[in-house]
Order: sequence, then C-alpha cells, then structure tokens
Amino acid sequence: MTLLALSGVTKTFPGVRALDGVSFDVAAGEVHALVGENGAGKSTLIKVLGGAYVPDAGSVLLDGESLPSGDTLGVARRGVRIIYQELALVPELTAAENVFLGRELRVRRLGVGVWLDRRGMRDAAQRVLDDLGAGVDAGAKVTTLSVAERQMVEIARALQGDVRLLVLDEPTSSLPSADAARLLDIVRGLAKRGIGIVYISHRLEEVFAIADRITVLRDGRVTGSAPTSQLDRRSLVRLMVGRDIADEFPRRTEAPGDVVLDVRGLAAPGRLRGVDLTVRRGEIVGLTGLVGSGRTSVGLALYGAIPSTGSMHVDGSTFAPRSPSEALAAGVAYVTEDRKASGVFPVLDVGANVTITSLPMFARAGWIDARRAHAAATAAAAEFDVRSAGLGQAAGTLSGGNQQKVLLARTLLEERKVLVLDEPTRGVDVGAKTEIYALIDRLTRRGLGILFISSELPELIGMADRIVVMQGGRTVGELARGAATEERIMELATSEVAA
Amino acid sequence: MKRVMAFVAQYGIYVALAAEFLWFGLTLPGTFWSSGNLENVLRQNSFGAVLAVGMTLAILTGGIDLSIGSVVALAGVSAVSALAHGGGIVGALAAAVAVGAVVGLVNAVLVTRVRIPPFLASLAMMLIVRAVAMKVTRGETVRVPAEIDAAFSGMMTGRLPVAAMLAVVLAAWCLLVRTPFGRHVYAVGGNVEAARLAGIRVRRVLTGVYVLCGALAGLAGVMLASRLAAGDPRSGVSFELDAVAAVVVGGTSLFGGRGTMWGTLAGVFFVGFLNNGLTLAGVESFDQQIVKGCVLLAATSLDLWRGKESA
Repeated sequence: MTLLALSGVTKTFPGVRALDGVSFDVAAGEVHALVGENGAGKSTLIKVLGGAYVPDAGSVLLDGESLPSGDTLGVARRGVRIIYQELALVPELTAAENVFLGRELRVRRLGVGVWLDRRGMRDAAQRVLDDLGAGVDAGAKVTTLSVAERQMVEIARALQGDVRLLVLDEPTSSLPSADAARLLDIVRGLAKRGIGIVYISHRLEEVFAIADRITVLRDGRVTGSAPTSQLDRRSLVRLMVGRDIADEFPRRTEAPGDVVLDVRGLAAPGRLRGVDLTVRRGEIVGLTGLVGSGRTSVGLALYGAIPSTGSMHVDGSTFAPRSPSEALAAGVAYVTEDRKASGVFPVLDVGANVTITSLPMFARAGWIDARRAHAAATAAAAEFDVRSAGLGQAAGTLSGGNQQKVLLARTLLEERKVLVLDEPTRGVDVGAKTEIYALIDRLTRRGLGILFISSELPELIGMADRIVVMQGGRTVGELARGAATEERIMELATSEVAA
Repeated sequence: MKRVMAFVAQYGIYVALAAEFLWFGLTLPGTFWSSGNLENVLRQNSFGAVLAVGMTLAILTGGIDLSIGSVVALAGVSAVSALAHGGGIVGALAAAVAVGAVVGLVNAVLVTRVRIPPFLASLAMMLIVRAVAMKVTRGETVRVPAEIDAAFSGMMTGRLPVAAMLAVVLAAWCLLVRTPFGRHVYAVGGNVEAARLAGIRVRRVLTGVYVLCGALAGLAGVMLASRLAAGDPRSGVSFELDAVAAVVVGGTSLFGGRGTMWGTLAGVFFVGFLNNGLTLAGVESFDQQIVKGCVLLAATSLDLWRGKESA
C-alpha cells in the first residue's frame, strides 16, 4: 500500500533546477533508499517532503492526502519525521529533554499547569531508548553522549507520537562501523512496525543491505528506480555518475620529475588514520573520497593547519609543519575550498589580496614599497588571467572563478614546491573552470607538484595524472591516468574496508 | 587532571566563593564576618543580583542586554514620579516594572523582527533610554515627597531587599529548570536551528527573555531609588557591565546555552565580597579594579577552555 507519493515535483532556484519532475513513492513498512552524488537533489527533495521548501510544481501525498507544503510543523503532525545529517540536538539539555523538545509534557502543580513533568518525560524517553536498545541514560546531558548515542536520541525523538514515515539523511556518515550495523538493525525493526523509511546514504553496501527499493537521482532527475534485487553495484554506480565528460581539459604532456612530496602514515586525531601518497615535480595527483573521508584534512595537515603525526618529506628533507607559516617556508602552499570564509579578503582590493601574504618581499627597512608591490600584483593578475575592473576592485565583488584566480596569484607570488588545491572549481561556472584547469596545467610546467583535492570525479579524471582515493581517514587505493573511471573510483571510495 | 578541571569549571564559582569568604573572614578578624558587614553586603548587592538574573536570561539565549543600566535610571525616576503623583508604593513599583518591560519589548522587537544583533540593539537603547531619563527630569534628581519618604526609603534598610532578591532568583530558577519556557531558553542559546526544527517559537522565547530582563531592571531601579530616596537620572551607569561580569564569573557561557541562576547569584556575591573585603583590607580602589579585571579574565578563560573540551 502506498504511504507516500511524490509526483512530478519540480523546484527551481535562481540559476539551478534542483528537482525536475521527480516522482518517488514509499509503501508502509518499506525501506526505500535514495542515492545520488552531491548536488543531485537529495537534500532538496527531503526539504520539499518535510515542508521546508514549497515545490514549484508537483504533488506530495501521504495516505492519498496532500501534505501541507511549506509547513514543517504541519507535516510533522501528519507523522512525517526527518532526521537530518547534521544532528540537531541541544547540547546542555538532557537526552529526555531533547526527545521532548518543543512537545514537553506538563504537570499541574501549585494550581497551575506550567511545570515540566520531568519524571514523566524521563521515564517515557527511557522507555523509547530502551526499546531501541540504545543503552542511553535519558537523564544524561547530550554533551556527555557519543555520536552514536546522540543518533539514538534523535531517533527516539523522531519516534514520539504517531509516526508514519521516517526519513534518515546519511545516518551512518559519522558512525564507526559497529554502530552503523546496529543502526541498520534498528531501522529494519522500525520498518517491521509498518513505518515507511526513506534511507539516504553514500555507503552503497548499506543501501544494498537494507533497502527494498532504490531510486537514483542525478542532476535533479530520477535516472533509475528499481527493487534492490534487480540492481547490482555496477549498474547503480553508472546510474549515479554516468555523464559525458566534455572536452574541457588540457592535454597533459608533462612527464613527472623527481618526488617532491612524500607522505607516509599521516594521521590526525579524529580525522586521518593513515595516509600515504607521493607527488612528483610537474605532476597533478588527484585526491578524492566521499564527504567525511578526510580529503580536506589531508590538505590542512600538509599545511600545518591541524596537528598531525607521520613521516613527511619535501624534496627529501623532513617536513613537519606546526603552522601554515612553517609549511609555506618549506614551500608547501594550500588554497582553501572555502574561498568566502577563509580565502579572499572581500573588502580589500584585488591588488592587496594578491600581495597581502608576501608584503615583506616588498619592504625596505620595514616600509612597504607600494610601487613594487603594485607592479608585482599587476604582473601576477595578468599571469593568472584575473579579470577585474583594475587592481582597485574589491575582491568580494569578483565572480567565483576570478576570486579563485586571485587566490592562486597570491599563493604563487612566492616560489613554491607543492601546491595543494582544495576543490578549486567549486561554485565556478563552466567557462571559468576550463580556464582554471589550463592554469593548473601551466603551473606544472614550472615544476610545481600539485595535489588536487576534489569531489567532482570528471574533473579529476580529466586533470590528474594519478588519483588517490580515500575512505574513513585513510588512503585506500590509487588509479593511474587511463585506468581511472568514475565507476572504479566510486567502488574504491565506497568499498567495505577492514577497519 | 581533566576531571579536576571539569569540576572546577562546573562548581568552581562556589568553591571560589567559599574560599574567598574564609580568606577575608580569617584575615580581617572582627570586621568582615560581623553581622553588620554581611547584611550590608547582601543589601548592597541585592539590586545588582536582580539585574544579573535578567542578564543571565539574555546571555543564555546567546544575546545580551546593555540597556539595563539606563533602565535602572529611567525606572527609578518613573517610580519616584509615580510616588509624587500619589500613586503610592504599589504604583511606583508598577510604573518602574512597566517602564522596564516596555524597553525590553522594544529590544525584543529590534532583535527578533528588525534582526539587529542584541549587542547593538541594546547599546542603542542604552543611549536612548538614558537620554529620555535625563530629558524628563531635565537632568535633575527627583526627590521623594517628604511625607512618604520614610516608608519608601525604609524598604531598603531592612531585610526586604534581600528577600526580594532571593525571591527573584528562586523564581528565575524555577522558570529556567521547571518550565518549558526555561528549557527553550537553553535550546535557543544552545542550538537555535535545533530549536526551530523542534517547533519552538524562537521569537517568542527571545521576546519573553528581553521583556523579563527589562522588567527586572525596572524592579532593580525601584530598589535603587528607595536606597537613594530619590530618582537619579544619572544612576545605574555601567551597571549592565557589572551584571555581565557577575554572570560570566558565575559560569554562564557568553556563547549561550550554558549557565545557571545559582551560578549567577554566586558570581554576584563573589564580586560583591571581593569589593567589600578589599575595601576593608584598605586596598586602593584602583587596585580593586585590577583585581576584578583579573577575576573576569580567569573566569572567561575557564569558559573558553571548557567550550573547547566539549566541542
């Protein structure tokens, strides 16, 4: 019996069609998995379902009656519960208080009914938690609970009242594998009670283990939907990533030179558990993995921005940076994935943005020689093809692609040996992407070794000479240019690796 | 070591208060522990404690209310005017609390509707309310009419101010710990997105908090006016900062979501006894300020350290 039915749901944001005629249904007691790459439209779909977004077209029916669109509370009252990937608990309240947050039980005392029924809430929450086999004390403050325990509190909260449909968005993304297995058991139990489950996960093993049906989203459209028994891993991955790679990448001709960066057993508490990689002079090494695999942490560790252990060498000398300035002094530079938050200085002009980290280069007796700085900025802006209304334009008003070029110009104003690029084309339009690819290619001809971190597989396949794949904080495999396909990368990134 | 630090972070203020109490008592024999001195300290800090209770609410939501010092002045002036117009003590009290609540409501509208950060909204209101108090009195102190002076000023000499303070703290504690509203204050300060997703009406919670904070400042204004036997438009300057200091020393996080009323009460009296003890010991007032500054720095460092641990 169909519990939930979405049909023809379309949602457009300025410049993006996030959902394009998506139809999707869930039966009572069924686990229906929803998979797709980042940006495929899964989050938008959940938000439409939960009432956070009003769809431009299409209908969302529960038990044949339409859900109130744009009314999260109304949707929740109809028995639709969503557990978001980012856990939404209040740290200083107890597990029980979080379970009942916004729906507190009250008790009449001193003639008025404004008092919390603390005993009642605690007992009721404890019962739900015990039913789940969670082993969580309902009276414990959330700050004292582990991630897995917090997840249990979230589930207990979602199960308050009459629940018809439960949506879990990447519920295991931050769980150790034993806890993840327990969570799957719990989800199966809930489905047996007749609750419809929408299960979103990047971990394909999990999807195959738990789902009755699988629907694949890509670029806002459903590219496939079938009972799990009719799909295999290979066909699923193809449905997820299968898109044509346009001829937007430069032809790589450079033959790599000597090893410039050598990393063995790099570890960082809570983030990295064993990363091995080498980068040669003039080489582009791609680094990828799913969200949470530790891609960015590798860049930050190389840059001395987070504490790490392990053996690293740059040009044969030991390299153990404790701060970005030490990394820079050794010739290792990092360009952030988050230009807005930790890259450009938006109110400073283009010239200042380019020279700001290299000002001592232009100083004489402590005074900055503005003319020399200006000349250097002009040359760098030209070399990196920064398109602005002159060096005086505020960097915050540039397009994403030009901001990225400003960052590259700044980073390479001084001589570097290794350049770590973290998602250099995120939020950059297609034309500027091609320009940035060409720039990166040109940099390798200077003998620079480049570690190219990206979650966009087509660009890595197009750009990298080798691709290193990460999972769970460690490197799990490496694919040479030519051998790398999206399917093989996804297989490595999602394969079950012995912990 | 970790446990010790966690204990210090959680109960440190009570331990520090007890230690301070013992230290001054033993080093200042006969003066510090005299019942006259202790009663005096309690009375002197009673309105400061009332202010700090309101400030605790604001800071728990991750906000702040810098207007309360000015509200103390305007409420005091209003209370004395009400007395002069024959409103009696009840009328004076009502006028002061109402003035405070209205200012609190304006703060709340600025914060929740116009979306001005609480720091700036209440800073602007601090200037405006102070100016209004000066304007309506033309900068002059308003005297309490002679025929009711004794009754009004008498309120602050006995145990009443201390009783009022304890009642306010107790009520605020009940509100925070025993009612949904109180739990929602922690939720809004601890994770506003989670609060919103749980269906909590965040604006309503914030409005309640700022109105309460203003009303309590109004109450403190009457208490001060009674102590001064006058409504002084220049009174209450920098009281908001003393309140922030006491709240932070009492273990409430400036980032919101963590803190208790008892901690605030202890913070008020830690600072209060510090002032008193240092004065009795003959420490110069400038040096006292330095000591207070250092105490504040220590309390904040502890808070930052604790925030890092739980992150």
